[in-house]
Amino acid sequence: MPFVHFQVQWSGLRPHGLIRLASAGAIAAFVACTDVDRTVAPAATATQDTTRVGLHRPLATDPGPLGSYTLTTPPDNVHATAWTSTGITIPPSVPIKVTISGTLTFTTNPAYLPCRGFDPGLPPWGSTLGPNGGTASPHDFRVHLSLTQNGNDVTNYSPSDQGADPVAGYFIVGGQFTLWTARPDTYGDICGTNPEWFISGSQTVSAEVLAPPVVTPDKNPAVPGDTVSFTVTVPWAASDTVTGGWQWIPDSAGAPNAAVVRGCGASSTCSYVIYGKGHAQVNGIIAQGMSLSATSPVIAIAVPTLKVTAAPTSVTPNGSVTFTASVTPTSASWSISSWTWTPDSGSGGISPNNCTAAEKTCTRTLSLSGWMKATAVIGTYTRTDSTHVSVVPCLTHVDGMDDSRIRAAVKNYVASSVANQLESQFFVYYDSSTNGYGFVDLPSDSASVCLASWHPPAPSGYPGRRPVAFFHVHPDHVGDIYYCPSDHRYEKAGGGFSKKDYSTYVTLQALPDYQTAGWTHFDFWVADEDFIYRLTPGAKLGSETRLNSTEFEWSGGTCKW
Amino acid sequence: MQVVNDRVPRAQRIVLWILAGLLTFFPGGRTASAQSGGCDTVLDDVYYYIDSLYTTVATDSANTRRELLGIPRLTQDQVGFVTDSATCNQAAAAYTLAENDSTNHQVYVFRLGSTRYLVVDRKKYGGEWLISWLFDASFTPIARLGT
Repeated sequence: MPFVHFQVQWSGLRPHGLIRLASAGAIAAFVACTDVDRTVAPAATATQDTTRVGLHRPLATDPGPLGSYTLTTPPDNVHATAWTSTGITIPPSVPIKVTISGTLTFTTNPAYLPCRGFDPGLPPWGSTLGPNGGTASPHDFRVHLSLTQNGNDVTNYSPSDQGADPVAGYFIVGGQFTLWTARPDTYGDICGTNPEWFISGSQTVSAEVLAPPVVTPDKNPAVPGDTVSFTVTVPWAASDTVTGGWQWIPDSAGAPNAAVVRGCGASSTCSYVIYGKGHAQVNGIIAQGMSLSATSPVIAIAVPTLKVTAAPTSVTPNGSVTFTASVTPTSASWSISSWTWTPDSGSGGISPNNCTAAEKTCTRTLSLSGWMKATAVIGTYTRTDSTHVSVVPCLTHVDGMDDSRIRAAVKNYVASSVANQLESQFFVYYDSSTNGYGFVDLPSDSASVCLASWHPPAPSGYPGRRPVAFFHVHPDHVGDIYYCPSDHRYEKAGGGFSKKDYSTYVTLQALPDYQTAGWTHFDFWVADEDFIYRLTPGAKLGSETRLNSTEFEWSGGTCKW
Repeated sequence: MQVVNDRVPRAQRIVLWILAGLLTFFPGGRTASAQSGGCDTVLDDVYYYIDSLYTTVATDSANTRRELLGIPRLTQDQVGFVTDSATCNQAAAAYTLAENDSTNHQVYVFRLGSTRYLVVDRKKYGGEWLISWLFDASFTPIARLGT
């Protein structure tokens, strides 16, 4: 006799169907697939929320798993798997992905043949069936998901074929719900207590919160007048489209409106010229059937700075120097409007020509010491900076000593000391803010041709500066005979360091406030009318080096300063 | 030159004054015989300073400074420290005579080759300079050097 397969008409199913219809309207208002935008907080905001009041407990809306639930085989191998709560709470307004994995396996019941008198073979889908259920409608043994008991399906699955395993679906809801699941539609016959097939296997429902779309700027911070380009991406979607457009939202008052430069609209990129702090918002980002919104991080506004440097900072005449202008923040768009060369004395001194506005880095030959100044336009700002370059007859490669201004100070101090027949001293420092050297006079409490008393400078008076050297002047030529008042005698200038000079250097290095301030590595230079002598720190106090070397014949020889 | 460091706390200054006073009345390392002049047997940092300085100057091939000071060019082993008491006494007497004072100077005596002696009293300063006398081989004064 012909065998006709039939749907099990389970009488208990009918009232449930009515409840489904009744609840469908209520749920529909909360379920959004493509129609309602749900603003998704920017990633930065979400991160802030998870760390509040010292508790690092992720919020339910943070990306990550929400839970899972396993559906066992249909009761008696034939009946529906009743609606049951998965216990998984679905948070509102965040993209949700549900994954159903696992198959049901069908094997013929040997007791069915003798009971019914024919071999049923396998069901239409064969021996296994995925979460989509059978292809016929209603879909036999399909795993349904709803936000209420007996409710409408919350999402469709993909892939959609009956053998697919796993399958996934996406949705957003407007309120907080519990996820329910069931296999309401069944297939198969029971002969007495003997089902056609034994069904084995299980299917697991897993839910997770997906990460929000990301709007990434190409720079942050930016300077006013700068162009900032944004790109929207949905990390978990193979493709996405923008349907709701872009919007610049100011986060500070008073700045001119941002202007669209390119993209925006339905593009996945958008560029604005901005003049104040703010962020970009993208609406109607369609991904996996959901409509999402996203915002960029707040673009901070930075006041730009321009820095001009020279390398090297000291050269011999006609030496080559490379000038470089750079801007902070480095991401800012900017241009040079002019370079200005100003020699310390006279005119010219640079060849073959001054640097041009087309060059952010330029290399020139110098024959005079002087200042190079650059003027740059950075967004709505105009900034200038300058750097000094020394051209000296010869290079010593000693910190500070190849600076033409320090050399001039040495000449002036020696000339003045000789004229007055008084010892003198000054202090050479490096200033990190100007990347240059300077000097400070250290006046004597008392001074003669053979002795000077003075107070060491306090580090607190020189923030941002580090000592390079203390410079002490003996106003004589080596071998000069002079009258020393404190000794009431004549003596012959021996040149170099006196024993007290050496002791002074050791004392300076050991001063507690110098140690505290990190003023521990500096030279001690002595100049007379012929030579410069240099003491440098040793590994420890008392092991200073170069004690006796005649370092530079600065006023004669082959390199007269 | 000398640094005036007035940031030393008052209490520390008092201690330093007391120590200075004790050193004045009970100078360590000195012998009774040394009190009468002759070799200074205390080889402190002044000794090493002078030894190092004049060895460098005397052996410096760049002769400007050396010649200005009237020192012949020597090899390192031609610079020697004299410790025999007869020479020291002679040097100390010459130093006292050259200084025209009545002090019994204890001195360091350095032989600079065969023609020069450098004699130094480590306590004798002129301004910031140690006073050393350059003598010839017979202790005739050549120059009073600020060192």
